[in-house]
Amino acid sequence: MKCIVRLCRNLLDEIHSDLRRRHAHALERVGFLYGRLARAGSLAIVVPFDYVPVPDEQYLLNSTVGAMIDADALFDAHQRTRSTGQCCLLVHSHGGSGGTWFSRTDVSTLKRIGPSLQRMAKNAAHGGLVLTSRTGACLVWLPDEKKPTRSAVSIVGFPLILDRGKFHVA
Amino acid sequence: MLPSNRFSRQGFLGLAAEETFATARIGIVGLGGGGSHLAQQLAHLGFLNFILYDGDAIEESNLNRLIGGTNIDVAVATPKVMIAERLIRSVAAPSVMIEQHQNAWQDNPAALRSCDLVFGCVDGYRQRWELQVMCRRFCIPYIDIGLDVTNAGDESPKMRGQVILTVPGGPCMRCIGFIDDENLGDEGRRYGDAGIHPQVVWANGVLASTAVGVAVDLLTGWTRTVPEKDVVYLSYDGNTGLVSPDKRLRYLKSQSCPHFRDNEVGEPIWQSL
Repeated sequence: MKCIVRLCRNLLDEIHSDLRRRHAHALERVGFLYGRLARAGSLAIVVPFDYVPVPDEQYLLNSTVGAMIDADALFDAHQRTRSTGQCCLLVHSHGGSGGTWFSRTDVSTLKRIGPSLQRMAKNAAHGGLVLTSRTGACLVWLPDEKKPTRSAVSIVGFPLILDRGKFHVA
Repeated sequence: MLPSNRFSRQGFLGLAAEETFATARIGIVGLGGGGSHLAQQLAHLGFLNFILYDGDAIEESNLNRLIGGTNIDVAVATPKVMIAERLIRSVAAPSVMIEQHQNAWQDNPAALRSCDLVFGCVDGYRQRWELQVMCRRFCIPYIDIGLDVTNAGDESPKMRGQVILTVPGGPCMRCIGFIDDENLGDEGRRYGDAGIHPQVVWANGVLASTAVGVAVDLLTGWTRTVPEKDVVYLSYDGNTGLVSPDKRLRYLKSQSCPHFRDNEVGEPIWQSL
């Protein structure tokens, strides 16, 4: 199944303004983006509507990757996903303005978080979204699918950005 | 993607324009006087993915404006979506993909949800509002075009039209004062009292061309301008031929929309009380 994430530009601006804030020891901030999953034939559509930053105190120092979020941050995301049935995407930014993709560390993190969130809300889509100033890339675990799907990303605003990654929706 | 020779005259739209047009999935609801112009122009520009909705077949009274319609089509009552498909295929690259629906979009809304941009060329405010709601729920920009001719007593009939682009997160058609409870409830009296749905080819052409220009700017950003209040509302005065920003935009106080809450997205959820 193909998937597209349609992200409103207002929400994208809100995310960027949070992720740009400096942290005492984390070089890169993350947050959780919640949304709903809809179907259009064989196309899955994720429409995010709420962004929740990870609080400063939930970043831990880590000798391998510098910093990582703690169990409380993950618990909160799992709890909300379970109680609402919403989609949950872990969001961070790579900076720059062109296309981007997840690092090896990102993918390894998502491979743990995606299926775990999937168990919390099995009818939603979960995974990660990595942003640049102009666009983003997304990897999601869709309902009943064990392997993640590379999702297209649309930034809905002025201008309308249609980032199809490696596939065409049609 | 490098611009092909086919589109060499529109290179100013940017290097990515051709690929964007080829990728974007366009929904057109209503393939009459306005929609047929849109279909033709979008095909010329290089759009390659179309979802078309219209439940009607062509009638003789449509021949004054329906682009692509012929006397033979009237004789055999060709569905309007088939005429539009024929028109698009006559211009577009062979790889064009067209999904036609000979029914109201509400009878098969899934295909419309998959669109990246929806054009509404429908009659009446209620239909427009329903399209607006669908587009908000699935985070799709919506472009509305419409034409109205009203009698003004002893004066000449007044021809007015509009092109509106609303984008999720920004003002909707209620915010800008185009749709309100009064015209939703009483549209039969106010809409088109100079005959049944008065339409003429030149005015449809002006509105459709303007809408296509708005869509191209949305997709390419070639003018490098962002609408001041995150919405485009252009009014057409058919008596003078002027297209200009509607004066109601001056009184729009907020760029946020109180009519659609952020979490009202995706499939509607029904709960028993």
